[in-house]
Amino acid sequence: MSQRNITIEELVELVSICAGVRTDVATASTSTFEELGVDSLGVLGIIAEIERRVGRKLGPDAELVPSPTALIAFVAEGDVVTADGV
Amino acid sequence: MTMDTVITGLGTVSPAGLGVEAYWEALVEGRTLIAPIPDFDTEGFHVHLGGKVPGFDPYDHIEGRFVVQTDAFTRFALVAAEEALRDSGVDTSVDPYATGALICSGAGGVEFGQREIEALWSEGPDRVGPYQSIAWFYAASTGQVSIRNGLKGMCGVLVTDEPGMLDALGQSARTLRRGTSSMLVGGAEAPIGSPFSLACQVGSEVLSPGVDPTTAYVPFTEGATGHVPAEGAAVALVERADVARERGARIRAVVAGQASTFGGVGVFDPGGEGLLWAARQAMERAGVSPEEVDVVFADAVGLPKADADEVATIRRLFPKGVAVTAPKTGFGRAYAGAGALDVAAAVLSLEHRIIPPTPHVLDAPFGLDLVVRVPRPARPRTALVLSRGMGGANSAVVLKHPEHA
Amino acid sequence: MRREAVVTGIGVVAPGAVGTTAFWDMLTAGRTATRAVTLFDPAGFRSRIAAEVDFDPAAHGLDAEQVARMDRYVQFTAVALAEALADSGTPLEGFSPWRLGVSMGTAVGGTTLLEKEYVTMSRSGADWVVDPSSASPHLYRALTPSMLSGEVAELVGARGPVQTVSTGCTSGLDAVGYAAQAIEDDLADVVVTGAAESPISPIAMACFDAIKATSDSNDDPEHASRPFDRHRNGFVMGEGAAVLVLEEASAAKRRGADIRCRVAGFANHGNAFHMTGLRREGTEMARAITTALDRARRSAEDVDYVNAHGSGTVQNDRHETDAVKRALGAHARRVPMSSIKSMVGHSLGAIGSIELAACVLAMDTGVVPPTANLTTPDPECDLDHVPLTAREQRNDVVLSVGSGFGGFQSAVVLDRGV
Repeated sequence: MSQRNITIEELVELVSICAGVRTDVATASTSTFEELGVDSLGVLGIIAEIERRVGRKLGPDAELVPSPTALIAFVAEGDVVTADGV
Repeated sequence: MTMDTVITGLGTVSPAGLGVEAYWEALVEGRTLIAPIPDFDTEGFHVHLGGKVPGFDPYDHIEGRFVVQTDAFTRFALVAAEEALRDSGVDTSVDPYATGALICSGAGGVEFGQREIEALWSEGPDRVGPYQSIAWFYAASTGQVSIRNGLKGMCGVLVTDEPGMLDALGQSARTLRRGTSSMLVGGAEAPIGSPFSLACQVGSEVLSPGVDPTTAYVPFTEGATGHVPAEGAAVALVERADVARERGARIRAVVAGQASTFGGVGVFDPGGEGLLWAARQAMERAGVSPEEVDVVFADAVGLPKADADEVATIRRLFPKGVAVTAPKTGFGRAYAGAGALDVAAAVLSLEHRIIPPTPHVLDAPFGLDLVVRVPRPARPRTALVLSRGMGGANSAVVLKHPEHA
Repeated sequence: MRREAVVTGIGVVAPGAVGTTAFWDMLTAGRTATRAVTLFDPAGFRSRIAAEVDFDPAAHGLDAEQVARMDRYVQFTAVALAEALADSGTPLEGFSPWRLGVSMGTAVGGTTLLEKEYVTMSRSGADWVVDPSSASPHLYRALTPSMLSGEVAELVGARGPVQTVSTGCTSGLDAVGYAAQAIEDDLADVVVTGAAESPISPIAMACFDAIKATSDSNDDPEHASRPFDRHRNGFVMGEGAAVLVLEEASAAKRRGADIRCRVAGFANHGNAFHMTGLRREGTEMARAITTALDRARRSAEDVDYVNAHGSGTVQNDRHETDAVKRALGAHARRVPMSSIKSMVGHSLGAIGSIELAACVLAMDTGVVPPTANLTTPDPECDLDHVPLTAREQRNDVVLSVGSGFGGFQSAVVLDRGV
């Protein structure tokens, strides 16, 4: 059984619901959370909601990811991708 | 001791809608803004009517990132604070430390809190979101007002229930005397959206069980059965008089004197001695004699005993009589927003030279010159605002028209 | 003549110690009161540890009616108040009640009782529209924390200015600061002040779980609160109360009161940055310290002891270290700065007043309490944090600082007068 991951479209929605920041796929794909205006509490809220949706805990490192694309990769791989290249 | 504090900005969010203009229009008209509580079915509840802020979509007024992390009471405070700051023309970026904030609360972010407690108990502790810790507590509004407007001056929060704003005016005078130039002070409350918050008040026996908006909240009458709860906020930008004059600000009112006393928990100052003492002290500090007070904004709890005590207090203060009004009967008592909206009403009354009426009270009770049915054109120069709180605080503030200060 | 406020009595209800003697014995011994939560079943919570008060209200003289009416944090206050009044010996009946004020702090007030009643009224969260008929008649007293100062006012017969101050985790400093201002500005001659909190409840613990602000060292609660230590991982929730009796200085001298210290300076600033986040530089806290010292007419070099906020979060400890360096300059490296939260945890709004009580005791006894559990200092927290062991030294000018959600930064200076 393949694990449930999240898409960039889904994350754009979560950024709006959980952090109150409206963005789009293009912007979210090329920005850090900080650049989007999502603060640390917003990231924690987004992670909690992802954990609910994918039905598993992501662990304490999840909150260290710098950007939406890195978070998507983290959900898929469980690795922290650094800010370089985002 | 005369206070050297002036009001140079005003903002309100009330059952009349957003903004001071809408508020004043409704007050002068004596409009009925009380209606059935729309948020939930009140069957089985001890209260059915409320004064709600109509059609308020926070996203129209506040950035999304503030909306997700705030309860309605903080959103009201943010909107009222923005109006007050804009109205004052104070530029807080010049010296962020020169301006502080003190937004009073009574029940805090109670609707937000109920949702999170519900999530905890129905689904588990890990369903509590990251904003509960900053949305529910009483300091949320002051914190967010400080952050959104870049205010690094003295930041405070007083919880004295209905009189909060009056006490905040006194506290801000003490702060301004110690070097801060200006402060956003106010009171904000949004308790109606939470059935739990209203249920908590069963034992207090102060909320009217009435179902007719025109007769449910009629203080000073034989039909008084309590008051209707309301929500809303009022914020004033208070400023040191010398600072305001130097920058050529429009002074809307002078905060001439304030005093607070205590009258017992949950009983609204039986006998009226505490309210009397507070009023006399406030007038003394303002250097104002009874003859110089033109209008009293009454507390108007709506309970026969508390009303009688207030009438007796006013008669003892003003043996020769004085015009009295309680415009809040049109929309209800907004907890920590109540005193704040009364202060705003008093400032507007001085400015417009009109005393707004006491809606739904049709006849003045014996021995009280209550302004009823229609607004009274007058030239009020000095207003006295009275307030009593559920927790026992009494407070009085004297406001003067700037031309007569 | 300038009116000044002096402390003439203190009372403390703290984790591990009810009463100032036990409290000071515990702090100076470096003993910790942090343990596994017993006040509710913390299974499923991230942080399952807290600093709890072992408290039997009846044993401390509260009657059944008071116990039924008062929430736990108010009960703590009643007990601390009785001790403070006895300690002060203030003849309250000699003052006009109109000149007697109350200024009490709390951050979350009656949350614990509200939650407990909510669970019943909502059938454990099943009903959004709760059943009002099952509400306790005293419940309205829990809805607003004004009741805290109201209860105190009734106990002491105060009829002057009575207020509750609720600036989150700086409430306990701000309440005392406002109390001193009320005396300075001639609004009252005696003000009963302090702060109280009883936040060890599911919702309060869960909300800090959600932002990972609290320690999850559940296997080693005694060593979980580690301010300034490299291995710290958040604060440990606490509870308690402290009450201070403030009097106008000249009147206190005339009656021959045992004047413990003067509340010499107070200041508070918002950081206008973030509800929970802090900018590393600590500019606003530094400004609060400088302003408080100015109002006390003291210089940075005068400070003998700094009672730190020292919550044990990485963010706080570094922010605070930098703020104190900024405010005190070179003197920051010479002055001891410890955190009693290492022993009694972080009781939110109450802790500021509990820490001020500790400052008064540090002045009384000539002892600086240690920072417990500080075995491996964070290299970025490189001041003298008084690790593990109390230190004897004369304390004439003491600074206490606090930092709270909402961005509030407060500082209080106590001294022996001028």
